[in-house]
Order: sequence, then structure tokens, then C-alpha cells
Amino acid sequence: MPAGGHPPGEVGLTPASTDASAAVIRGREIVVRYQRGGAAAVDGVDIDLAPGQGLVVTGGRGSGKSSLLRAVMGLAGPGGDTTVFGARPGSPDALRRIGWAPQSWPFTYGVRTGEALRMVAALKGYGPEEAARAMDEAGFTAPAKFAPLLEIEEARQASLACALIGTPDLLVLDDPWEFTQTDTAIRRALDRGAAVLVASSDPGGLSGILGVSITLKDGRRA
Amino acid sequence: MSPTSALSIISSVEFRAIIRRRWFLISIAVGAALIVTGTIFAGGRAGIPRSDALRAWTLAVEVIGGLVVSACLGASVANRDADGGWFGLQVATGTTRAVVTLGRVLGRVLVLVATFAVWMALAWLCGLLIGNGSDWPLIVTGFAGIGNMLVVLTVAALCSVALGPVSSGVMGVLAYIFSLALVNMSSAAEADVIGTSWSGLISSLYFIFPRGIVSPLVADLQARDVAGLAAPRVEVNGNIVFIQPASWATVIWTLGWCVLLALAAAGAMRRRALS
Repeated sequence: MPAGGHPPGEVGLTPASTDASAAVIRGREIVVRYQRGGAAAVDGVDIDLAPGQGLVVTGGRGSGKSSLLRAVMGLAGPGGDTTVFGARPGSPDALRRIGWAPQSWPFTYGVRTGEALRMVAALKGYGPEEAARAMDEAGFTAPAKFAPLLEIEEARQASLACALIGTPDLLVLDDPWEFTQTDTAIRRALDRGAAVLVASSDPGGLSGILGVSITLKDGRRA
Repeated sequence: MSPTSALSIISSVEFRAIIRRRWFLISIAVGAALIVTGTIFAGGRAGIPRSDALRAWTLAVEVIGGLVVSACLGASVANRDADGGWFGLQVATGTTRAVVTLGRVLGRVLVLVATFAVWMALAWLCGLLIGNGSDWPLIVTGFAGIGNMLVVLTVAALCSVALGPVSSGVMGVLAYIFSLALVNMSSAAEADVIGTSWSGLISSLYFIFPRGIVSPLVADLQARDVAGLAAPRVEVNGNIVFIQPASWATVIWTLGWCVLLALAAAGAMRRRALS
């Protein structure tokens, strides 16, 4: 049995929502639209995630995986009835408990990657040493590089380091690459009782670690 | 993390990021080169024309360069970084969108002030070099220019929540033109050189919207018409209109508008989808 305590390869979710107060994520009828009246990127998806539980969202390009994660983060407003740590998605209290690894490292000019990670640490109330620790844990070794100059692999490691700052109660990893460090970080998080939500079109071995998976197609559960 | 600490962290990161960008460094350098060129040009003259020449060149840099820098700064507050993930990364730390937006605006205000500080310091040094002495009226004009450019920056910032960078920048520049036009037309109305039917409308607009901040030096250069495009003489219906320097009430009113616009941008970001 994997560290998260879930049988590998299980598809679909057990109804973790029976105790809503303990739920890390309780999403009902999640809808994400980027334009008013436009097509829904996510359309009526339910998800539940409890402490110590892992969930991988799979699906092809444009299936709504990243949008679903953005909805959980409150970055793209979720319609429906959704709570994260008992609060609405995007509330500062909920976000402070989440380690967020964006799909692509922000392509902004003029900011060294190390500076960006130290900024994330500082905004979460940690010192620069915590950013350094997270970089080390993620195997990221190019903090002096500006974002546009990062190799793809380095960008994915920077993204993972971003999520590992502090001791988040929920890891949200958007399309992580399957580094050894990724596997280790997910196992450690599950071991300490944190929940892990991953979106990936090709989760590979991550499915075995996370246990539970759902598949999206055209914004809906397949 | 208190909002003020978060504001400080985000504004300092934004400040450092922008002052490294190529467009910004080029803008500063071109402005500085033009001031030096103006100094060489002014050095070939004597007396008041020498002083006027350096002032005109410096003013031209502050107006044209200031518009470019402030429009670019304001136009980049939201749109590209909201779509590119940088804004989302800042929000994902648990910092409210309002604080992130205000931090980004504050960082850009600091860049604008730093830009003017470089140009003003250079013009002051150049003035000393050619024997003009310390030109304090030019320094005061620089501060007035910062006030005017804050209108450009904050209008562009608000527009950047919904519009693209170019459109946002253009809106900022239009707001600057509008604020100066209000001052000019208000002075024309006071001088009775426009129809009374327009006077009421102009007065109403003048008392509602942000107003251009005209320094005593600019008012003097306009009246003498010696600064070319940097401070053109105002003529309405064939009559010369003498523009009065801005009062402190106008300065406070315009800066108050800038604060309101920044807060409006922060409020408008609440519902903006982020990557």
C-alpha cells in the first residue's frame, strides 16, 4: 500500500464528504468560465479530498485539469458550492495552507527565480532559508537565472520548490514532472497527513503514489 | 503577514524587476542623453536663453519620457502578469488580490519617482556645470511632473485589469491630455475667451476630474512661449490664455484621484481570472 494509504489505480472517489468539517477540499458542481457566457472549461465537477489523501486529475490537453486546480486555488472563480479548508477557494486563510506549483513557471522579466521563491516564502511568513530549503528539496539549482532563461526541467523544479515552501496542508501540483524529488515530496506530504492534488495528462508512477484518480474530458468527469 | 509587510515585499520585488527591464533602462538612458544634449545646446548661449534652453530640454524629456514610462508602468500592472502566472503566484501565497494589486502599483510608483529623480538630478548637475546654478524651479517642476504622470500610471493600471497593454497605456495618456485640457479650458473660461454656455460645463468637469499640475516655472515658460512643445503657449479663439500655477488644492485633488484609481484597480482585480 502506498504511503498515502490508498490502493493504487483506484478510479473514482469514495464519499469523503460525509464529514465536511474535516475535508480539505469539498467541491460540488465546480464550474469555471473564463468569459461570461463562454464555454465552461470545467463543468459541474465534484471532488473531495481529505487529510492524508491524494488525488490525481488526468485528461487530455484542454480537458480542464488546470482549470480545476485554479478553481481550487480561487484563481479562476469556481461556480457551485466549493470549500477549501472550510473556506471559500481563494480565501487568504485557505491559501496560506496550500503549496502551489503552477503548470509553467511565471514567465516574467527582471525577476531571478531565487528572488521569486524568496518572495513566496516571505509572503507566507518564512525567511530566505526556507526558500533555500525548498529549492534544495526540489533539486532546483539555478536560483540566479531569470525566468525566461530557465531550461524546461529547471522551470518544473522551480515550480515544485514553490509548492514545498513551508509545511503546507495541501499540495496542489499542476502538471508536475516526475522527478525523484516529486515522488519524495508527495510521499512526505501524505505521510504527515497533508492532502495532495495533482493534475497531469501522463501521471505515470504518480498514480500509484496518489492512489485515487479522476479523468476529465471537455471539462466533465469522463 | 500584515498587509503592510506584504505591500512592502511585493512593491520591492516589482521595483527590482522593472528597473532591470531593457525598455526601462533604454528610456532612462535616452532621457539622460537628451538632457546632456540639451546642456551642450544651452551651453552655447548666455543669460536667460541659456537657462530657458536647458529647462525646455529637461521639460521635454520629463513630459515625453514621463508619458512613455508611466504608460508602460501602469499598463503592466495586471494584464500580462495575470495571464502569465506571476500575479497568480503572488496571490497563491495567501496575500489578498487587493494587496497584491496595490503592491504592484506602489512598486511602479517608486520606479516612476526614481526615473524622475535620475533625470532631475542630471539636469541639476548639468545646470551647475554650465553656470546656471541650482535650478530649484526645475526641481519643483519635476515633482509636478511626477504628479501628472501618476494620473497616467493609475488610469493605465485600472484599464489594464480589463484591456490589453497598448489600450491601457493609450487610455493613460488620454487621461493626461484630458487633465491638462481641463486646466487650460478652465483658465480660458476665467479669462472670458470662451462662450458662457461652455464655461459651466468646463467648471463642472474641472471640479470633478483630476487636473493637470502646472508648476510656476511651466506657467512662466508658457506665458513667454520660450519652451516650444515642452510648455506651449495656450491660445483659445485667437486669444492668449495665461495659465495659473496649480494651487495646493489642485495637487491634493489630483493625488487623491490617483489613490482612488489605484484602489479601483485593486477592487477590479477581485473577479479577474488568473493563471
